Parts: sequence; structure tokens; C-alpha cells
Amino acid sequence: MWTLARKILLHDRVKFLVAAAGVSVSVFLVLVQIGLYLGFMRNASSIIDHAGADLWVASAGTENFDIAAPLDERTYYRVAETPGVSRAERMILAFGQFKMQSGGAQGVEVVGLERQARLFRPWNVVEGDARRMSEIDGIVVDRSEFPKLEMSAVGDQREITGMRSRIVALTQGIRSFTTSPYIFTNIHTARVYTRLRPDQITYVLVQAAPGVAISTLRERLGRIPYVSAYDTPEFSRRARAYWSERTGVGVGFFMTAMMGVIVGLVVVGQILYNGTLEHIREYGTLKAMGAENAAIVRVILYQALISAALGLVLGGAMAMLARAGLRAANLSVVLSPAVLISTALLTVLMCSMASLLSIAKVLRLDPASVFKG
Amino acid sequence: MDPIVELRGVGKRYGAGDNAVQALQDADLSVFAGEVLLIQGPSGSGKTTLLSILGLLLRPTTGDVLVDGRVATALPEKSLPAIRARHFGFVFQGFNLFAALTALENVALATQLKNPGAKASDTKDEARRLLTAVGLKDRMHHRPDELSGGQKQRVAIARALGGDPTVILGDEPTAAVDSKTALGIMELLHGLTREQGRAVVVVTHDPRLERYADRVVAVEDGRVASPRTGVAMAGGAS
Repeated sequence: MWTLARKILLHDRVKFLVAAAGVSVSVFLVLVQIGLYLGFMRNASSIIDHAGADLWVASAGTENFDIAAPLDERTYYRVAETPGVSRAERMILAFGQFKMQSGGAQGVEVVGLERQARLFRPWNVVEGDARRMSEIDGIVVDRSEFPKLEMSAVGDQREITGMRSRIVALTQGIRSFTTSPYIFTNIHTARVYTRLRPDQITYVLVQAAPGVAISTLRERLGRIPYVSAYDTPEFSRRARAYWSERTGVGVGFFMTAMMGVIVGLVVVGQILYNGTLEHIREYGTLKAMGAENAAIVRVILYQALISAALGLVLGGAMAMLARAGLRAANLSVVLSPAVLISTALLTVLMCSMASLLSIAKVLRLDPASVFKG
Repeated sequence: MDPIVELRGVGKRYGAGDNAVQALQDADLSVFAGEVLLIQGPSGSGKTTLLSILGLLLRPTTGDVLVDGRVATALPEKSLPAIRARHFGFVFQGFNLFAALTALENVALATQLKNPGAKASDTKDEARRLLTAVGLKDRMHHRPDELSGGQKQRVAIARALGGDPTVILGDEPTAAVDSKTALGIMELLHGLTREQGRAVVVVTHDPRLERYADRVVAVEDGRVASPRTGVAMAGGAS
């Protein structure tokens, strides 16, 4: 049956190539859309995910990680003295205006950290010394943001919200969801860059003392007025969910991915159905000769699976090429093993569903029809 | 001699009510091993319906079909494919070969379907043997579009012989080939009855084929006449 399926498909190479192209486009769209979505979502929560905090304390009702209302610094002290807190660190995350060499301004997300911060530090430092961001004008930026910031090397100087800044270190691959570059600096400089008052912060990062349940500590911190406390997985999920659900970004990516699936479904379904109609007398002959329905259904399913396999290889290769191209445009496409396996399963399901019409046709086929005409 | 296949009081009605068509009524017919039985009649007379019921492709509305003395019409639908595979081979006017497969692959496919447990190498060997027997030893690796009409029908006959059926049913098997080739095909089918003891039942319009028939049955307006002795039985073909 496998040989028959393969030979039927390859006999009409043009149709087979059209089917494979349909699946390839489908696989490509699904992989790139899901990959881009996951890339954006990873950016949306990358700071939270790379922090070593057990809990995050934010202004009550904070929904958007990137645009949070400031906290009074007294909150930090209340958090720090809460029983069960092993360590608490302040963080500022707010927007500033980066003055470009060409004269314009670029919005940046300024991340202010304590000088001795241990619960969060910029990661993937590839050049310079990130500890020097404790200097009054020291900033750390991501190398991929150089074109946007019109900078080129460690030591370059610019102004952020009217105050001088100087690159002391570079990271690789830290990007925000908002596309505004992250600027890491110390908490005092960050206040100037973001025009926050000296007694304002954005977040308190908390490490639980050994033996203290995070849920218990979260409950205690939640009793502090005007704040909300989240454990790290939940806070990460909220950060992603805001952009994904509240802005419609997730639906947009999902719809495009589904369009890919529909394209594949229609193209493969049509090619398989046409092929089944073309060979309907032969299938009828097999039934007349005593072939079970299952045997003929296998022939059609195998054709669907062969189309799926070739489409996966071609579409996967196209997605890999697109990922390389999009990386140059500062966009990350996450093609993890889970994404690849899920897409492969989705493709097999799609092609199997595409064969349902053909299968219904041969199941209903009356073997006596082979004697007609 | 007991018949291999027997129809007893078989009728077939298509549709219902005022639109009902009685395609076959009260037909009795026996098919014996080693004979060529020709079914003749005008278009729409019920020949194909008769052949389809004989081959268990169609259930009669009334009456019974017995295969090897057992009432096959009493069996559930799902058990019929296995009986067809064991007892019947089919040859068609339009050949119905898979265009993507070579002659060898077409025959091997049918052989494999009829013997699902057989090894692929064994079914290939059997297909080679059958194609050699129908005179296509040198055309085994050709696809149908590379074969003449007569060669295609020989492939179809080899395919019908896969699984060693006792009855070959042919629906106008010579209609799509020239007259010389048609006689060659009938020679081949006739030989199967004489050399291998199979029964061959052929529906045809062509009176020239009577010379190969042991018995001839006329069908008209759904009624099956009593078989008359064919020319072969009278010694016309050997």
C-alpha cells in the first residue's frame, strides 16, 4: 500500500509538487508566525524570567510590566521587613528619551538596579564591564540596538532625558517587547533618566528565606496597602498575557498561523480528492477484488503523510532561512524542538483531515460501480 | 457436478415506488468449474446486474446466491470481501489498471491484497509467474500507457488470477480491443477453463465469442433464459 501511495503521488509530479508546495507554505507560515509570537512573548517577560527573584511586588493592579505605576520607596522597606523575606531589591523600569546623534529622540526603557543587586543583573554580557553601570553615567545596552541608537562601541556617549550616558558594557540578545531598547543603569541615574522622584521605584524583587513557602510569603506581602505581589511564574505569565491578549497581538499571530493551516488543508485536500476521483475505478476494482476498506484508506492516508513529510522538510527549511533573515532585522523567531514537534503533529493532522473527503469517497464507493461504463 | 456459484430465484429491484426498476427477476443460474459461460443480451437487459450479483458485488432484492454450496447472501456485508477475494477474479472492459504501476506491480498489488499475510517477495514471484502465463514475460516492467490494449487486458487477466480464484468474471473484456486481439483474449480465458479448471463468465455483445462458450445465457428485460449449449461444448473451440 505504501508503494502504491508513493507511486500514485509521484506519477503526476506537477500535482504532487503543488501539494507539497501547499503544505510547505502552510508549515512555513505556522512556524514563522508561532516562532515570531514566541519570540515577542519571550521578550515581553525576559527580564522577569532572567531574574532570580521568588516574588515581585508592584503597584496594585499592575497589568503591564513595561508600563507600571511607580511605588513609594517606603513600600520597599515594608517589604524588606516582612517576616520570611531573605532579600529585597529595588528596581526601576520606566521610559526615557534617548537623544540621537542625528538630532531626533528615541524612547528607551530604562532599567535601574541597585549597585549591589543580586536578584537581577543584565545577562549575556559580551563586552565591557557591567559592574561599571554603577558609575554615575554608566549604561549597558544590547549590541543589536546599535543601529536604532546610532551607537557603535563601548565608550560611546549620548544624552538620556538631558543627562549624559556612556556605554560601559554590551549585552547580546536582550530586547523588549515594545521595541524600545533597554538601557540598564544604576537606580539613581535611572531616576534622572525617567524623571522619577528620588523616593519612587517601580518594583521590589523579593527572595524568600529558606523554608518559607512562596505562597505564604506572597500572601503576607499582599497585605501591604496599595501593592500586589506575584510569584515569578505568574508575573511572567501576566507580562506576556498583557501583550498577547489585551492588545490582540496573540490573536493576530494565531489568525495568520490558522490561515496557513487552512491553505494547506485546502490545497492538500483538493489534490488528494482530485487524485482519488482520477483513480476511483482502480480503487473500485481493488474493492471488487476483495480489498478491505481499511487497505484503500491506508493508500490515501499514506499519500497525505508523504505530502506532509515533504512539506515539513521544505517548509521547515524555508522557516530556518526566514529566521536567519529576520534576525538581521532584529526579530527573533523561536523554533524550539517543542515548536517543531507541535508543527509536525499539526501538519500530520492537517493532511490527515485533508484526506477525509477522499476517504469518505472510497468508503462510499460501491464495488459494483466498476462494471458501469 | 456441483456448481461453484449458483443463483436461486434472484431478483433485483432498483429504487422504490413508481420509479422502481426491476432489473432482474426470478433468475436461476449455475456456474460450473471448467466452463466458459457467455451472458448475452441487449443494453439495459440486466446482464451487468446479473454479473454483479454473481460476483457478490451487489446484493439481490430477492433470492439467494450460493458459493461452494453456502448461501453467501445470508452473510454480513463485511464478510463478503474475503469471499470475493478467495473465489472471484474480475476483468473489465476498461482494464482499470493503476497507471502509476508497472504490469508487475499491478498484478503483485492484487495478489498482495488477496493474501495480506504473504511476503512481498512471494507476491512478486507469483505476479511474475502469472504475467509469464499470459504471455507478458517481456512487458512486466512496462506501465499501462506503454502497453497495447490487448496487453493491458492480459495484465488485467493476470491480475484477476492473483489469489487463485475459482471463477473469473469478465464484463465486456474484449470490447475495447480490435477483433484479432479480442479472439486472443478469449483464447486465453478459454485456456484457463481447460487447463486450470476455472470457470469463466463473460458478458458480451459480440456473437463471435460464442465459439469459446460452453454455454450461452440470454438475458432480456431482466429475465434469464435457460442456458443453451455453446459452440465450444459442441467441439467448436479447443
